[in-house]
Amino acid sequence: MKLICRQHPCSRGSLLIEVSAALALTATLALVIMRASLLSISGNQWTIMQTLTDAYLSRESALANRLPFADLTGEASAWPDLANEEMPVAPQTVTVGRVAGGQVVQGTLRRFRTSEVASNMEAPLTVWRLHSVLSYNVGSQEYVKSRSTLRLQ
Amino acid sequence: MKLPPHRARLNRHGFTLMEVSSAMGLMVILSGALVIMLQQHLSFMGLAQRQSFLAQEAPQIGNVLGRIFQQADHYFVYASRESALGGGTPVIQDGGAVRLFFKTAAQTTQERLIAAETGSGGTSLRFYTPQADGTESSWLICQGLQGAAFNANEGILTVTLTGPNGEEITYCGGAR
Repeated sequence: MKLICRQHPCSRGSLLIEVSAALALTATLALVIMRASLLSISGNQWTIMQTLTDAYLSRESALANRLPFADLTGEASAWPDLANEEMPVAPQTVTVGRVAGGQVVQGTLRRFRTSEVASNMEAPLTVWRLHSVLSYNVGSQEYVKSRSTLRLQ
Repeated sequence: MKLPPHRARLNRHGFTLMEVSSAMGLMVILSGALVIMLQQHLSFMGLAQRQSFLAQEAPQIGNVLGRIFQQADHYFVYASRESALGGGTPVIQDGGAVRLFFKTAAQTTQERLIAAETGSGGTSLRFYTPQADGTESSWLICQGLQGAAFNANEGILTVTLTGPNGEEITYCGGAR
């Protein structure tokens, strides 16, 4: 009888402890899953921005290759000379694309050109490097991506 | 050997009302937490699914279209595939097909066609290769789009794809 009396008080309330442990385990599991989900979503966001900005910069490369040399070196050049202080490099807000739901994604584009001079150049060539620098945000972080195109005449 | 009344009550199997109530309350909380976890997981899955076009398909499409556009020698944009094949007048923007011409190593020209085709499953982009016997072979670049439009109004070739959830991305290339 002594054995019965000792065992019974020990088993009483054990369900409470088990359920509490299960609750704690579930809460921990929920936090871990939420963290994993957030990480996967944030990874997607980064990939999406890379995709959109890569596609946008393909436009910049194509335009830089296509631009007539007269327009490139003109006063209203889309790629102003970085060395020319009278034509400052003005940042412009551009639409990079749209994400799911149609929300517009914007970035800031800076275009400028720099003179590339070869010291041992036998033929007198005018060589410009056209730079397109795109800055964009992923969450609270700001990223910068650039493309440059060499043009010579 | 009959036990006194208070000892007999202690030895009785079962739980008190307070214990059962507490356990049931905790189980309700536990099941509620599980339901919330499931809902959260489903919403994240839905969000990931909505992002799949830009996160998974668009990089591959960009890789394919970028290579094709960059290797083209010249191009013409048409309103539709039928117009391109039927010798229609090229358009500057909002085209549904583009004829691409490539220079080979033997200095001959090869022609290819990319067309946006709309069906029951949305718009798809398909790459066509004419064969010597007059037939043509094709392969699918992407499908399930809301729309696709070729443009040449900036002096470069662009194609703007509208994804299944309203996403919009523009790939560009130009004649060499």
